[in-house]
Amino acid sequence: MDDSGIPAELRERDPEFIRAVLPALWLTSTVWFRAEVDGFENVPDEPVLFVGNHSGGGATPDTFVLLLAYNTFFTVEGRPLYALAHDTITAAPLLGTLTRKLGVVPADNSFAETIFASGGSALVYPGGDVEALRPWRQRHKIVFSGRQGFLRLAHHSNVKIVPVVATGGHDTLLVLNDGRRTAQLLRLDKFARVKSLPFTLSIPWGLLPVPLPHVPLPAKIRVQVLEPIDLRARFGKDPDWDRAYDYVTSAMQVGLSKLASRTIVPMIR
Amino acid sequence: MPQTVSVSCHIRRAVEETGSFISDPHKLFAHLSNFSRCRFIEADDDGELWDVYMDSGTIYLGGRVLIKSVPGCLSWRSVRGTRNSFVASVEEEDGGSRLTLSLTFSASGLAIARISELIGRGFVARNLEAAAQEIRHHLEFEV
Repeated sequence: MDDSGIPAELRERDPEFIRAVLPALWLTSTVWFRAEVDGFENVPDEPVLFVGNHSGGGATPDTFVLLLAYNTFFTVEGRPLYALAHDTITAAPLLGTLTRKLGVVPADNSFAETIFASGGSALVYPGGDVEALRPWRQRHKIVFSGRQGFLRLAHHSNVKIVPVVATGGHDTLLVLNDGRRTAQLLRLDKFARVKSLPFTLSIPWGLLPVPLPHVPLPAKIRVQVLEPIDLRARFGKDPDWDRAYDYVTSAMQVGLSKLASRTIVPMIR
Repeated sequence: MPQTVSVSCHIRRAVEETGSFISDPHKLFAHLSNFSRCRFIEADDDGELWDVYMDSGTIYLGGRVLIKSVPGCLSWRSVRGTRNSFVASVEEEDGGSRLTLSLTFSASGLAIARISELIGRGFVARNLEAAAQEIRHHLEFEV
């Protein structure tokens, strides 16, 4: 650690950079996505693991809406939020540099434990690329594909899980199929940890057999922060992980379905 | 033209337990947050009168309904407000139960009413799905 008390591996988060991009994020979120974010009053004043549903293909606009809202609700100087992401994002030229300044770090348990130990909170999307590229018809479904690592991380680190659900992100492009079989046939799941390769319809690419970063359609985005879940209090020192997984995903599914029920006309309102 | 929207989900609870829960409107409405405005009016030989509304953010959809229930099934028809009828039914499925919620509604008018009904289908489907998920979660984890 340096004089700031921040461990070396977390020092790439740049509060001044975040402060500089907030106006652009605010303008985009407000004008383009008419974003609404509710529920931050549910977040306890301690390090937590935010667990979200991932939408919107390669753009994941609701993630940026959440980052904007967090850094304005808790302030840039407040408890830092680090997003755990696939290392293809943090290692990418240019994009990696920008996202690391926003507080994105590789999705590795050692990073997460360091974050909690230093007083920060972490954001994780257990569904990863499989959920972000799920078919449009499943846009209001939680798809974590049985991944339970986030539960063990929260339990081991003794932090509460704060579920975050969002709608609208998956209306910014059209994902036509599942794509998991294609990824398996091309062995991308083995070589690049890419589990899904669906056909998508997006701007400016049109119909594509691979998801590329796109210009998000101006869909209405809603984000709801749900009440925290204390795994140790609810499931004890030695949890039944399947039961805990079912509970957390069930609570998130209820939250997501309720949030989706606020949609009057898809994309618009 | 009346529109009927149905959603269903599997609940890992015995059909008797799920059926008992959904056929009691006093228990059921207490756990349905998106039916935000529900009020028991009175009971008579025909059933129970309730005010039941869904909040669309702009207008309230619903009105006064007459509810009848038998074990494993609850139904209502409107007697005031938006013309609608509703059925919640439970059947056995894979050792648990399958809950199905169906709502039939119609709007008065011609072309604009048809457009409203089509938009309403999506809105009703999302609200019924949220209701089904709340019921499932309550029975699986909170009872």
